[in-house]
Amino acid sequence: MGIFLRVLVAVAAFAVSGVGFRLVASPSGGGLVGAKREFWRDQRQPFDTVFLGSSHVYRGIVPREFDRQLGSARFASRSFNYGVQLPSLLECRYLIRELISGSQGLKRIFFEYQTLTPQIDPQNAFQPRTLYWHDLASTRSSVERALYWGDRLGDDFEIVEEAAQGRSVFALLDGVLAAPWRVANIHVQHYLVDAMFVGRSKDFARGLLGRQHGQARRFQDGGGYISLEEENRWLSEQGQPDNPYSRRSNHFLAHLNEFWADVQALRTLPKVFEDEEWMNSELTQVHDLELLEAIAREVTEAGIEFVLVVLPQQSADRKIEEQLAERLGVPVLRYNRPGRYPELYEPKMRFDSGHLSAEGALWFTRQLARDYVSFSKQVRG
Amino acid sequence: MIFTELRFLAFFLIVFGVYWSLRRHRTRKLFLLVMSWAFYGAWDYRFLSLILFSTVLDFAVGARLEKASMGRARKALLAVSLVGNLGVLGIFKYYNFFVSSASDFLGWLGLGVSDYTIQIILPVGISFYTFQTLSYTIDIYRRTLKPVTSFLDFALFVGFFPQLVAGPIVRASHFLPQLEKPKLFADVDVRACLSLFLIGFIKKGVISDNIAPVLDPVFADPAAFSTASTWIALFLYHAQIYCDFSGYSDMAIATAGLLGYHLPPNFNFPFFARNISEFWQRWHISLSTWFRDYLYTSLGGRRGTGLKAMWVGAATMMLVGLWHGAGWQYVGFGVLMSAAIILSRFWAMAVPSGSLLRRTVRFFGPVIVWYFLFINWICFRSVGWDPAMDMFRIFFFLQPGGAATVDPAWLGVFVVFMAAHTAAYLRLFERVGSGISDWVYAAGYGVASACALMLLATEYQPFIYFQF
Repeated sequence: MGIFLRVLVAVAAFAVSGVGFRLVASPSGGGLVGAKREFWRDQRQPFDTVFLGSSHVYRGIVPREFDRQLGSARFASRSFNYGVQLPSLLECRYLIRELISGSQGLKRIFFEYQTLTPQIDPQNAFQPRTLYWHDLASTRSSVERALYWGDRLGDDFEIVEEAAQGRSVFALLDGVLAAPWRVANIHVQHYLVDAMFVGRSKDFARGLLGRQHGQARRFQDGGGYISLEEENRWLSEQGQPDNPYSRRSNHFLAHLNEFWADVQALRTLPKVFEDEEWMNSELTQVHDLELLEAIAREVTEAGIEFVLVVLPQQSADRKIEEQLAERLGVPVLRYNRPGRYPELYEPKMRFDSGHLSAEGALWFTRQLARDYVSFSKQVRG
Repeated sequence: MIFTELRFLAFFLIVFGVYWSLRRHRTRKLFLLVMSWAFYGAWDYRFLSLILFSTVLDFAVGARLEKASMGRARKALLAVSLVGNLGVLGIFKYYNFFVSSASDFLGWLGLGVSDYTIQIILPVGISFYTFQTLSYTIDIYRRTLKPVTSFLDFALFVGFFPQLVAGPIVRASHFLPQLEKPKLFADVDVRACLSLFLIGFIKKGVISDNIAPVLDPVFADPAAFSTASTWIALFLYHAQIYCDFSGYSDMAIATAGLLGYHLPPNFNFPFFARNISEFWQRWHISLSTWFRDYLYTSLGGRRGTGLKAMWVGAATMMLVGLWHGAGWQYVGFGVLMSAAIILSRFWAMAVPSGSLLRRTVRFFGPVIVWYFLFINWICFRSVGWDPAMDMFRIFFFLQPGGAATVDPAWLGVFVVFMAAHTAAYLRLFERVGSGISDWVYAAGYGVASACALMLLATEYQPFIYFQF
């Protein structure tokens, strides 16, 4: 009996230590998303409008301008740009739940329409960025979506993984499971790794030293928005004139013909997926309208307005896009239409093929604000 | 399946629970054998046939050796065992190396030859279990050991999972007698075993695996890194290779201990050695003593004159180097170690034992050993000839390197590691630990485990010694 009690004491001490570590240094997810979460948490005066989505949102929407535009139409708004690099739809759901539960005055969420990758990108497996959102509810959703798409995609549901990334300290049955179950299993491992604070020594050290992400203060002036030109300028001042931003911009300018061909295709074809510069093309992209519907429902049930935005990219699936408003029952604002918004596809409006320039972001934000105001007036009228 | 993974914990909990719930000693051994083979089969079930081959061969040779009275017959039987075991090892581990080296050499002479290398992967742990089974037949040949009559016992000796893939290399004379006696859980020092496992886990998962990604770019292109960074990298590799291998040994010994079996220690604070001979008495002890007892002694190293002992010692060290792998870096490692043995023998002959010079060198012994080990690590870890030369240039001549740097904080990590290592050497942890109650120990173990998991490296790194 004594030995079992001692084992219990050890397990209890283990659990208490884990909770203690989290209290000292709750993991924020690392990188940009960590910085934005911290910035959001530290705000004394709450934001009532959030733009959530990928780097296209981050670099494409200027909150101060949006607030100004809404103010001139007598709509009160204090908005925040919550765009982060490459969020998964499931990660966005976690962030939305966090926003709903932690924010009193939140009135509206502008959400970038995006597809879902039912697999796990091996580059991101077991990285802080992928771990932080694996709480119990998100893990359950992730498992559910992996199995759902496993059923539908059949043999097309393949796992893209490298040997080392298929392993974790919690790996148990990876080698013997079918692809969807393997993905589900990896999500569970992500949950365990996050819950037990495995490998979070850097977070812990940051927490102890009282400094988390130095980036967070950079969002103060722009409400979470930083233009790509500003990033480029900042790196150039740091002695890196040849940096990833400048390279992207130069590449875009040198390949304008390809860009125009994509835009032309976007005008005429019902289905175009050219804007895949950031995607792992081996991963399947699916339109998970069911998941999107669940997200929209959660937001609207919390009394928050949910607006879906299709950003001015070079990708489109017209058939799906046309179903969105009816299926989700929420407003859908679509800007990936060069026929209707040719200004957004002018080279000066773009920093690179996928992202808007500072000028483009201003133009787009004004248009978005105008469309939103006009839509709201219609609804109220 | 490696010791730092949950699947090993799951595997071991099942083995531990079932093993101790079985009543009969023979049933327990049978269960352990099946689970050991399952453990090995988790890597690649096809290579189980190699273990089975060695097991059957040496069991049969051992039985025949006992019966054979003629010296010639006994030699022939020993030769069968040596050729069989070393033949398999040679094909799987060394064939491609020797063939491609010979081919390169002939090509250099202008004699082009076809490519006779074969597509083959190295079975994990083959060098360890081959030497283990050889100890059995050699001991019987020398009449220092009686052959075992139970095939089950012999198969378990060869395949016992804690030490199967990366040692320690257990002698038949050490392990087989343990299999005769039924085990009692009351005899198991659970606290010592759990502590040793956690220490091994921290060495491997926390120290070695966190260091590994820092070192990869430095050893790949040392010229790109500053001189200070290269030195920091060498200090870190010093800690990494020790923690990686001794961590595995600690976990293996602890795991075996929890099942009631004793494995010999494999490391004894090698970084405190005052000379290279002493280093090998403290580093990978089961390998160095194997070579000492089965090769150095057989070649007359112990009985020989100073000069003969020196050359036999040097030849033995060459083979120790080659044991580590089929590659020129391991040949280089062996050559350096041989040179050190020759030099130390000359030194012993030339400098009187009580002289001031001898005492001074002895005082600075650990520093000299470290410096010499750093040279060896460059050979051992380098990914090619050019990076190794770059590293030697920086190491010996402090030649300025590139602009890339290793965070100097890593030197702090090394200092913390050495402080903890020194405290362990001075038995400080043991003194503190012996006074605490089981309840405090349990709570402390829980906290220490949580800390270890938090500090664990998130990127999987295989054990360095698995490749040997």
